Amino acid sequence: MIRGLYVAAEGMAARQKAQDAIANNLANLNTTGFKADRPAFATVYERQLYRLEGTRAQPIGALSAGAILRELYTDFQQGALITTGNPLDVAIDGVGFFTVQTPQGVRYTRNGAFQLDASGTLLTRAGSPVLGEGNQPIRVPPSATVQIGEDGSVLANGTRVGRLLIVQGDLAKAPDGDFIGATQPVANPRVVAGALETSNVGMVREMVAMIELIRAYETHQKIIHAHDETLGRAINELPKV
Amino acid sequence: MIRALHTAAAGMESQQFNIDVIANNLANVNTNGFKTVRADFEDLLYQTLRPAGATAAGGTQLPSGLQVGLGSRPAATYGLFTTGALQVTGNPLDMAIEGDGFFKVLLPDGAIAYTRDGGFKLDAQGRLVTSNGYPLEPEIIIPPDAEQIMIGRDGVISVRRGGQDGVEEIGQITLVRFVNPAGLNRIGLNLYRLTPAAGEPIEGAPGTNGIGSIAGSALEASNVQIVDEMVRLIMAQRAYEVNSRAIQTADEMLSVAKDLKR
Repeated sequence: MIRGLYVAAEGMAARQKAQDAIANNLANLNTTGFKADRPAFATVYERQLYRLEGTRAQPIGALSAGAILRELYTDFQQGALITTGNPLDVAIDGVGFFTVQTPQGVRYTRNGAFQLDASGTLLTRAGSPVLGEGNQPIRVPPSATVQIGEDGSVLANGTRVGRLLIVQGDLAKAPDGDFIGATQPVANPRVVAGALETSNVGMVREMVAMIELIRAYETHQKIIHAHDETLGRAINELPKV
Repeated sequence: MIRALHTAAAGMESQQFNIDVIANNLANVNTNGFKTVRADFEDLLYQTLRPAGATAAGGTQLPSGLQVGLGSRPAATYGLFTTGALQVTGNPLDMAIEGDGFFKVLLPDGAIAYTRDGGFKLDAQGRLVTSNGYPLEPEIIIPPDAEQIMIGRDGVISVRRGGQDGVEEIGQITLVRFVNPAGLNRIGLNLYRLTPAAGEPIEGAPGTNGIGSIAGSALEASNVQIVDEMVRLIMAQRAYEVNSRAIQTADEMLSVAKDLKR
């Protein structure tokens, strides 16, 4: 049958998945430390077409069987830092991730909205211990005032009790939204206390991407209609001749 | 069906929750001792359409996966326990805590609650009680013939009785602090109840053990910052709107797909 019909349908399906990703970005516009996902499309099954001229094959060019959504990659650009005044809120200015011990294993996050539990252990909002150097949770004595320094060291009443383990590496999103992957410590991290990193989703960018998607989607629909019409003519009108 | 519809709906619900929290903060902008609350969000589950490291045709390993997120949800409401501005009232029974700590009060059912609201009054028996009539714990009774009441920074309450020159100490206020005050349970009426998350109460006299000291004849205003709340309100409203646009776009896509068949 007509190839173009399938090419256009594939294009519509790919754009629908991309719209899912944009909706997720927009839903996380206010999620601290969130990193946006961006769609990357790719052509598939490209092949070279030839024309036979006598005994020689004359190349015509490439033909693809359409575009698919190849991957959703994470945009690691830094979000804006906002000050909160809470000494347990920290943001990383520059590269690096906080290390967290979740029930599913070690995870990495840019969300530095921390809290203390009853025993004085530094936790994320989800209740997982934040790891310090040596992969140990950070504990502060019960009646201490906590401060976090620019290099990530945690001070209780001015005494150093540990240092946030800040790492970098080849990271990808785990199903729970935190990051996972192989890491090594960042040499000189810069930590800002009393501040949080906002989501890096840009509203304008996502709106424009959405407009682009819906128009491409409509165009593909028109292509399918055109093919449909061609087929209709072939079926209904050719026999009349 | 298209996931975007539900994903964006989850985003709208999150923002609605955000506005609920902001509205409560703004409603308590004049509540003595009120501590502002912030709603924190997290991304929901990610659906893996193709795992990273999967083997593609031809034996190469794919460097990245294809995962699509399914929205956001509220992760926590977190109380910000910074000290509010102190306002001098001139009323000798008003107290504010400068620094960490809570007043301890006895509820009618015998349970203990904690408050930062130091606007105390006298009841019929001369006890210091909150605006709702709950007495301070341990009890402090002001003698009926007291002419002048003085509260020291260390919480010592002294009175001068009518017709006398000297002052007499009648008791000392005990304050309580917690490792994690954000873990306390809010029960309304400016009161907090203990939970295991807050940690063991650390009791002591004002000014000891990291506990704040008492400022007499003053009240602690709410620590809600109107400007911050307004900015958050703007963000929440715009995020709500833009999520509704994502729903519209998904809807349009479905309508286009529907029109494929003429």
